[in-house]
Amino acid sequence: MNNFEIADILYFNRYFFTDTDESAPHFALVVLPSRLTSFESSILCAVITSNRPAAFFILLEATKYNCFSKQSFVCFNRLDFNSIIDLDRGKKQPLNQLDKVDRKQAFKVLRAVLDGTDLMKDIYIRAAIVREWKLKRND
Amino acid sequence: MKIIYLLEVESYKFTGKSFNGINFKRNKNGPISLEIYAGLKSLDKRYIKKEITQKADYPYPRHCISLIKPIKKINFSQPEMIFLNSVFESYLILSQTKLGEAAYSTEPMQEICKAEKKQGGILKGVNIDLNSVPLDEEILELYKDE
Repeated sequence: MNNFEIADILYFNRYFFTDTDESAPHFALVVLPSRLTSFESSILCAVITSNRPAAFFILLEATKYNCFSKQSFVCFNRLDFNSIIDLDRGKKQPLNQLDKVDRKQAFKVLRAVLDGTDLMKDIYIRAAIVREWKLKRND
Repeated sequence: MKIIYLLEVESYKFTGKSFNGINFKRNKNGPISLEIYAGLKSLDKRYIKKEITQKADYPYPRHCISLIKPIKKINFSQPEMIFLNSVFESYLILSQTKLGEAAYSTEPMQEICKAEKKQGGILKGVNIDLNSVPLDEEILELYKDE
C-alpha cells in the first residue's frame, strides 16, 4: 500500500485523461488517496499544467515548490482516476506537498467545482472529498 | 453498533440522507439498532459466531462477532465505498471509550441526554432522530450555490 496523501504532488510518466482518453507525462495533485478509493493502485488526481487555465485553479509558485521549473497551476475541474503504477519511479514521490495556505485555497476552489462534473455530482464522492479535505485543512 | 450509528450520522451530515436506512433506539449504553440485531440473529451459527469478552479498557462486556464462513459481499458503488472508507478510517482506530464519546457527542444523542437530564432517567427505547444532524457547513454552501 502506498502512503500518498491528499495535497501531495506526484509526477506520472503516463497520466490518463478521462475526458479525452489520452495520456501524457504530467504532474498531478492527489485529491483522494488510494486507501479511500478501495483499489490499491487507483488515486483521484487533479492535473497540474504550466498553462494558466481560465478558471478553477490555484497557482503554484516555482519558488515555493522546487519540483517545478516555472509557475504551475492545479486544474480542479480536470479530475481523473489514475494508477500509481504509472508514476515515475525514478523520482522520489511525492515530489512535494501543498503548504497549509495553498491547501486552504485548494479546498475553496475544489468545493466550487464539486457540482461541475458527472463524477462530482455523486453525493458520496462530494461527501468524501469535503470530509477528507476539511480534515486535511485543519491539520 | 456505534460505528454503524456514526456512519449514519456522518451520512446525514455530509449527504443529508441515510446511508443504509437503519433506525436506532436509545439503549443503556448508547444507540442500538434492532434491525442489526435481527440481521445478526439470522446469520448466527450459520455464518458468524458470537463471543462475550471483557477487557480492562471498557467497563462493559463486549459482544465480539466473527465470520465462520464467507458471506456474499454487498455490492456498494465506488463512490459509496470511498465514503465508507473515509468514515471507517476515522472511527476504526478509536477505543471503545472514545467511540462511545463520539456517539454521545452527536446531536441526536445530545438531544436525548438533555431530555434525560430534565426527566432524571434514561429514556431507554426512544427512537433516535437522525434528522437533527445538521448538514455540514461546507456542504450547505454547495447546495446554496445550486
